[in-house]
Amino acid sequence: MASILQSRIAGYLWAVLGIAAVTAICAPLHEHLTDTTVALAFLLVVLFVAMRWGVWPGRIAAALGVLCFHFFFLPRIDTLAISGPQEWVALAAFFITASTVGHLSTRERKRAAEAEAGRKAARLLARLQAVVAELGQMALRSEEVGKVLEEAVALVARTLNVDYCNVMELLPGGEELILRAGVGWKEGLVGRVTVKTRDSQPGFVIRSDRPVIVEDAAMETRFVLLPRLLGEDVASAMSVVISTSDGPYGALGVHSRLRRMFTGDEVHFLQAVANVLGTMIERRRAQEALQKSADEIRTLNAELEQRVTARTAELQAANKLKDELILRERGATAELEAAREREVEIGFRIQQNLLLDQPPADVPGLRVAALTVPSQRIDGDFYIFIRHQNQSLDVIVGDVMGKGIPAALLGAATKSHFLKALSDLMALSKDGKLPEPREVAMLAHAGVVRHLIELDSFVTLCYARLNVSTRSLELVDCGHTGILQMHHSTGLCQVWHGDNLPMGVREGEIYDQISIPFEPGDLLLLYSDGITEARNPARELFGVERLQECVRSNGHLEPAALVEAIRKAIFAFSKSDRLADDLTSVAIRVEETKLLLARNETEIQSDLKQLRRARQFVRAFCHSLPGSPLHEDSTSALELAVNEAASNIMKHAYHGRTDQGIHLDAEAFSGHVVIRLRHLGDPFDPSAAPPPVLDGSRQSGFGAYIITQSVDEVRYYRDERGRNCIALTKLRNP
Amino acid sequence: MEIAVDKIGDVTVATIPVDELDASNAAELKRDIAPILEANTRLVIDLRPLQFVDSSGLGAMLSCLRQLSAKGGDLKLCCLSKQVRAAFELVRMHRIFDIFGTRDEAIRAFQTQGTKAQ
Repeated sequence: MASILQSRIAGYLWAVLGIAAVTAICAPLHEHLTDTTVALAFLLVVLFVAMRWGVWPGRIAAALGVLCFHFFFLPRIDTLAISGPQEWVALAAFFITASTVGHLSTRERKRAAEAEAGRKAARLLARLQAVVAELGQMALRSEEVGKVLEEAVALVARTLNVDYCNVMELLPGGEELILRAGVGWKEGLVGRVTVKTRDSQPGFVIRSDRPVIVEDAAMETRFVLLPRLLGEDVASAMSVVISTSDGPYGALGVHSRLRRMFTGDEVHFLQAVANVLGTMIERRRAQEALQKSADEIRTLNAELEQRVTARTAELQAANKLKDELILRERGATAELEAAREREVEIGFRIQQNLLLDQPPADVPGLRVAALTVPSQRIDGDFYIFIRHQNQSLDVIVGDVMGKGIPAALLGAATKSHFLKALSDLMALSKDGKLPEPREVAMLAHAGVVRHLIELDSFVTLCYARLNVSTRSLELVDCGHTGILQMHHSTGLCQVWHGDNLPMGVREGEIYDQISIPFEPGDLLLLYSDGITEARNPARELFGVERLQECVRSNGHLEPAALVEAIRKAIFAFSKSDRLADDLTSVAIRVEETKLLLARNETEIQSDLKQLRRARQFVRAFCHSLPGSPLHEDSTSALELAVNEAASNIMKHAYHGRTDQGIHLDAEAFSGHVVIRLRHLGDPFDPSAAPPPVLDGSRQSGFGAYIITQSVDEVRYYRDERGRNCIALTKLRNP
Repeated sequence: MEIAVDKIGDVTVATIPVDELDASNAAELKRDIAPILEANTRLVIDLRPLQFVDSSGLGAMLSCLRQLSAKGGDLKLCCLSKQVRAAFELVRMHRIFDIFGTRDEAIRAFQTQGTKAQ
């Protein structure tokens, strides 16, 4: 206002001075100047003043010009009296012309000024827009909010030409604002100083949520201007809200120490800058939130991973431990199992080697088969076969109470006591007579009874002696299962029992012996209680009746097949593949046709020169058979077979050694003759030799072929003394 | 063993001097008959004394046959006892050897052969 006023006063002054100057210059020259020239000079002044200072100074100049023209230059000079209408017209015309010129020039000048201002405003707007655009790009580029804010306030201060610019950030809680960025402020304030929201300029702006402009700080009552709060001088100010979608961030303000105005464009500019900042802050916050959640997720993931790793490690450790424990347990179980298996194995070996004999294959008139199925734990079943010369066979089937290795060892001990008792008694026998089974049993008992009593064990057994010649069986049954006889003539089964106590019950026990007659074709069965006491799932016993039935229905079978049939029956009955007790059975068939008619034996050396002796032995035996001798052709064939067998034994079993022995025995039955060659050389089975070449191209390799072609049966086996035995059978009535 | 040899024309007759030919004396026979096999091409082996022959003895007889055949000669056997013949038959050697009941038959067979050949 002052400048306008000053400008007006200057205009009037210039109007007066201009008119005065023209009057002063033209008055002395009045004589030489026309009235028109003077009037034009005055009009020039009016034009100048009106153009420079506006309408009113122009009008004053015009009025003064009229007066001066009239007073100093028109006739009747030095008076203002108007001398006629012509003078009035002249003055009026002059005045109107001067006024109009002044008015027109003022209007023109105003228009020019307005156009200039418009251009200026447009330039400013463009600049402001450029600044906003620049700021926007910067906001997009820069990573740091603080840096962008600093740049923004500097840019705004420069652009708007203000002394201060600042960004105030609303602190959490909304009670205070911090000077986040600023220019023009004293050092140390930015980033530190805070102001109360209430009553402060930025607080007010935020509350009102629109631009707040203060043109004159002195007049302001709504709030205290920021520079004032911070001890600075301020005249004008403008501030806008920096908004985000989450609410106000703070305020952007500019302050000027000199009083000034802020145009609408400037307000818009500041608001635009605030918007750019708000958007940037919002974006940055979103990014930060995203980053934060990403970081959180990463942290969580890492944590999770760590936990998973830790848990995995824990689990692995636990698994390892578990595996170790399982391994250890398995190891322990395996050891236990191995120990158990070892025990079973040892027991089994004891049983096989010490407790169980091979049933004799060549007892004249008897076919014998034995079967033992060991249970899970050996329980000391044993059997003994002893062949005697006079066509008799001792069979002992026993069962030691208890299980495992101790029972097996007791069984072995009992068995050895029996063998010892037998050999002792036989040694004492003067006429070579066999001791009776009861004598053997009592002597053996005397040897073991103390041990058995000490060990709290006992042994049940059946001692049977079968004499084929006399067709009688002597039985000592010491608490055992007795003996089952199936009569061939009637097909009936009968069980014979003795009534002796088991061995090991009482010292000095006297054993009784019973005599059982048998006939050719009869079947005799000795067995352990593992058979009769086998149970089915209903806990029923297999029993003697079922055993008898089984024997009856399978009585036609060979002994080996019969004991197998019994085994199958037991397993079928118990419906289990594991037995509680050993299964032992010995089946003996009395052969009808195998009553021995004659017997002889001899021993030759393993010298080829002794072959003749072997042949002579065969020929002599065959010729001396009771009743009718063997047919001559058969005798020759048997002689040849024996010759070849002996020759082979000498050459191949003894490898040419001449100092070894070959035992020959010959037995004649009603239907056939058997010659056996026993040796201790390498095993050799003539019936298994390769077939010979008979086209004359080979001069050897016929031996085995000759043997098999010459006789009706060739058997190879190991006899009860471990000798290799080749048994050659020739039928008597081919 | 001493093997008696008779010459009847171009036919030589060797008589086995043992009654039993087995693994114990087969090698001896082979050894002692070798010169006779060398010296003759038409040979009759008379087995009259022989009452027993085993696989070794049969092998020795085969050996004789092959030696003679190798040099273009011929071997005939005669006078096999029943038991010896049975042994020959057992290993089908009666098909390989020319076997005659008597010494004369064997000699005659050679002579007929010779006549035919001439």
